Amino acid sequence: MPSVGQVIELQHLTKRYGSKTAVDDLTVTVQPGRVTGFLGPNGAGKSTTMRMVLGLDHPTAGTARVNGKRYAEHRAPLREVGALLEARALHPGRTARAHLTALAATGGLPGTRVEEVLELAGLTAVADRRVGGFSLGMGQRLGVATALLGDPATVVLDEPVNGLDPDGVLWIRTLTRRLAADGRTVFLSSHLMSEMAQTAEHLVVVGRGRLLADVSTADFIHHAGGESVRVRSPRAGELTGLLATEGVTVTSAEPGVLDVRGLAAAGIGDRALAAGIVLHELTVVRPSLEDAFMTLTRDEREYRTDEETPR
Amino acid sequence: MTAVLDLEATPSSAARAGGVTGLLRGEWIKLRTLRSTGISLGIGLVLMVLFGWLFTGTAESGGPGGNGGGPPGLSFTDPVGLSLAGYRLAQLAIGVLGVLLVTGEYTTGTIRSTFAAVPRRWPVVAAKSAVFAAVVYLGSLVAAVVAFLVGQTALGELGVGPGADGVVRALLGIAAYLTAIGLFGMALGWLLRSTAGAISTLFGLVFLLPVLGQLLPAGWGPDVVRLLPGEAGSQLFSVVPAPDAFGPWTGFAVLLGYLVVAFTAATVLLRRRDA
Repeated sequence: MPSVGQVIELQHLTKRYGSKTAVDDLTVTVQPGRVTGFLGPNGAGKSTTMRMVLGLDHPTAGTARVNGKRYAEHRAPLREVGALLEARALHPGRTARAHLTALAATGGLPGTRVEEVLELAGLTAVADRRVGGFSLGMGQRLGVATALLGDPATVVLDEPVNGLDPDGVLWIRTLTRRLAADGRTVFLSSHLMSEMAQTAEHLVVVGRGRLLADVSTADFIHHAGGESVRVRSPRAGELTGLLATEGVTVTSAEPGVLDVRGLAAAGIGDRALAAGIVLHELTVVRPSLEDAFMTLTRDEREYRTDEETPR
Repeated sequence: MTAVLDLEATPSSAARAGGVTGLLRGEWIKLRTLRSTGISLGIGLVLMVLFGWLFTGTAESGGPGGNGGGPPGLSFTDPVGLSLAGYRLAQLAIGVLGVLLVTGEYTTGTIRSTFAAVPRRWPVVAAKSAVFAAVVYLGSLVAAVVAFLVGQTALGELGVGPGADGVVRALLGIAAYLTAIGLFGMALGWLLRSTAGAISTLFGLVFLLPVLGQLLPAGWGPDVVRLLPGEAGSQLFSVVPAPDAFGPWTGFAVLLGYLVVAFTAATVLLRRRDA
């Protein structure tokens, strides 16, 4: 078991390419023991940030530390941080086993880990096949196996579900949660809000390199707006009058369908029954996370729930 | 602070993570698990033997074209050079392989895994060079010996034995020269990080410029041409030296100078650049 309780600390992390700022003064602490989703549209600076955590790109300003040290200061970095940085960072002419064996030797990791991660990624049967013939999903699995080769306390995965079939997506979800349950720090990027909502307990949202939110997933969903109720009725017009009382808003996007906010489904049903109005549909509509995410990243409005943010 | 200074200041830093052994073993695994290694090296060395045999085998008829025509730039008064003349093709294959072993890591993205494992980066350059140099030197030496024996046999009475003047230096030297060209390809790969760019530069310096140099004025042209890496380095194995050429060791030192400059620049840039 790796030493647990490592954190990823980004302090005023900034990366500029000429006049373009890819990462803009990012200060975030990623905590162990939970899956932290790193969310933002494509081009928001997620990959650049992750490369700086791995010491591959040099920050223009600020620092990225893992467990109090810059990546390059760790004596055996693969045992500290494991990363999947881009799909298919693999030589097509090499077999899966050769790829892992070479990296294990370079990183000073025992050869037994190669078989362990192959097994973990479900690649044992294809371990001696050339990577060039792998499907996108198999390549992605090998990338995850590579990340876990050093049994690291911190796991950084850039868009791990890209190109995976539903099976693979579920695998990633289960695996990352298990890694977090081990006490590891799991930092997972995605541009898919819905996927993150199912996997991550905490979210770091960025847009154009800037921090937009550092919140628990539950809080993010709460901020996304309350529930609404969709009501379908042949006498929607009459019903609107009945429902539109103090604190209730009723909108209609199409004839015969009402969108009610501020009144629970039960209350709507009661009032409709009392007035003898037939309802054809009464559905609780949860807020669309995708919409909330879009709104947030479009406005680049900064909101943070500081009680969820350490220090 | 440059990486070169760092190299002297903290000699033990390579011993992190997998240590020197791990690094060398990792690079050896990477080298031998690619089909292109065996293909490039094999083709290069087989061509070296075949062309040596061709040049020497046609000697009796007066060479291609007959009556003392002979292959351009080759002389029948130089039986050793004639049998080893296939090196011109071998250096092409070996130089390209050197480039590919480095740029292949960049084009596939594996360089990021490698540098994540070895964040100081320069030990990777050192280990990759050491493993490649060892393989190329041994392979080239075998090919040179075979080419020499095949060639001298084909030359019959014109041929010389292994005990003749300069033969041992030529055989050991040509292997060293091919190794140096391979390493030059690697250095260009680290510097340019692009397969096309590095191969073009290598070809330009080693093949194209010597030919273009012939067009320079006779007054100072040869002084420029003999400073080119291939022209200078090949003096190490020349038994019958050309009139304007450097001596064997001076020539090879010039080639090593190219390597030192290229690797120093590569290591400094490697440290500063984003991977």
